Formats: sequence, C-alpha cells, structure tokens
Amino acid sequence: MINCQKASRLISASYEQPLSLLQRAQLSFHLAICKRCRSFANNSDQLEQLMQQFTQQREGE
Amino acid sequence: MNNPFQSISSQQLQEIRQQMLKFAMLQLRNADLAEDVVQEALTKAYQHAESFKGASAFKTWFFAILKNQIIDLLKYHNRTKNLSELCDEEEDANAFFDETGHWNNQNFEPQEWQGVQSQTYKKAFWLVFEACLDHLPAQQARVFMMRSYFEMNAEEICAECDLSTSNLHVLLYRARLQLQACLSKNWFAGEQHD
Repeated sequence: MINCQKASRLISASYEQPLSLLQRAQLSFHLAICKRCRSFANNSDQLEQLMQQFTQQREGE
Repeated sequence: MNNPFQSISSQQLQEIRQQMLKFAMLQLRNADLAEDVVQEALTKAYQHAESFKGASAFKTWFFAILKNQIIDLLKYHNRTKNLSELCDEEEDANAFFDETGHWNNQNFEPQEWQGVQSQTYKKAFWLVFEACLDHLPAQQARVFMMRSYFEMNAEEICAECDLSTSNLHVLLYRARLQLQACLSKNWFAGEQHD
C-alpha cells in the first residue's frame, strides 16, 4: 500500500517512462481511494497540455 | 528573394526581441548571458536570412535559431561550469508531504482545476503561468524546459546536465509539484477570473 508521496512520484514518473505492472497496480489502487492524488494526476495532465500550448504560443502566432 | 527582415517593422522586431529575451532568461537565469545569446541569435538570423523560406512563420524561424543557440550555450556551460554551482540543491519536495507521506494541507492540497481550457484565452493566465515557471528553482526549471520546451529526451538531458536518470526524474517531479502548487495558489484557488 503506497502513500500519497509515492503515488505522486509515480504519476510524475509515468510521463517519463512506462510504469511497471506492479507500479501501475499500486497507483491505480491508491487513486481509487485518494481524491487528492486523483486531482494531482488530472492537474498533471492539464499541466502537460498547458506547457505545450505555452510552447506553441511562444513560437507561433 | 524573401528577406524576412524587410517584411517586418522595427516595432515587431523589438517585440520579438523582448519575447526572446524573456525566454532566454527563463532558461539561463542570467541577464548578461540572455542578452548575449539573443544578440547572437539575431545576428545569425540576419546572416542566414536567405535560408528563411517563408514557409514557417517568421517568429518560429527566429525561435528555432534561438533554441539552438541556447542549447549550444547550455552544453558549453555545463562542461565548463563547476557542477556544484549548477546543481545547487534546492529546497526539498518534502514540504508538500507530512512525515507519513500524506499531503501536507498547510502547504498544498491538490484540488482539481476547473475549466482549464477557458482560462487559456486570458492573457493574465499566461502571465501567472510564466511567473510560476520563473519561480522554479534554477535546476528544476532548466531540466523541465529542456524536456518540455526543447523536447530533448531523457538521455540527452542526463548527458548534458550530468545527471542520473533517477536524479532527472526527481527534478522533474519537483518541478511538477511546484508548478502545480503555484498555479493552484495563484490562479485556480477558488477565484473566478472573468
């Protein structure tokens, strides 16, 4: 059973490389019971998108 | 021939230069270096004006040159600069968690951002976004921008910054935490921005 700190680390790591089967299981179990970490995960996705938009804004127009 | 410098006004050029400066500052955290690298990029752009095909937007072309200049500079910097100077250890991410590894509510309690896409039309939102990037500790900002902006892969970043993969992951993790906390606090925290 992993805690929020570990869960948030896994969420971040998942953007860098695929998680192992065990890590995925640990994470999804934690997310099922933890609203804050679900929020952190969703916001992290949003942040990735925002970063892309930020880049495009800088370069394009 | 299609010389881009004839097709834009000096005011436009000035604006682009300001944007380039801001961007270089974000990467380099040093006003003199930023000034130099932008100057070099502009010089390069002048010299290679004939390579501008007009297919890409002028600004895109400019930024492509600037990006390469900064990457070169970072490589040079990382080779010559004392590593401890570069990798000054930053405040740890532990402030976000209590001793049992739960979110430390006093500092940051993740709450789902609402209506993110509609915020992106607002100029003020991007000012806050940029301010949050600015406030990242230098090393975090550097690797985060290398990855997100320069689209360098992990091996390249590790090689350039002399980091192990796990060090890199820790830095990116901290950058994500900091950015999310900063945006939550300064933009999404319950306020309505109309």
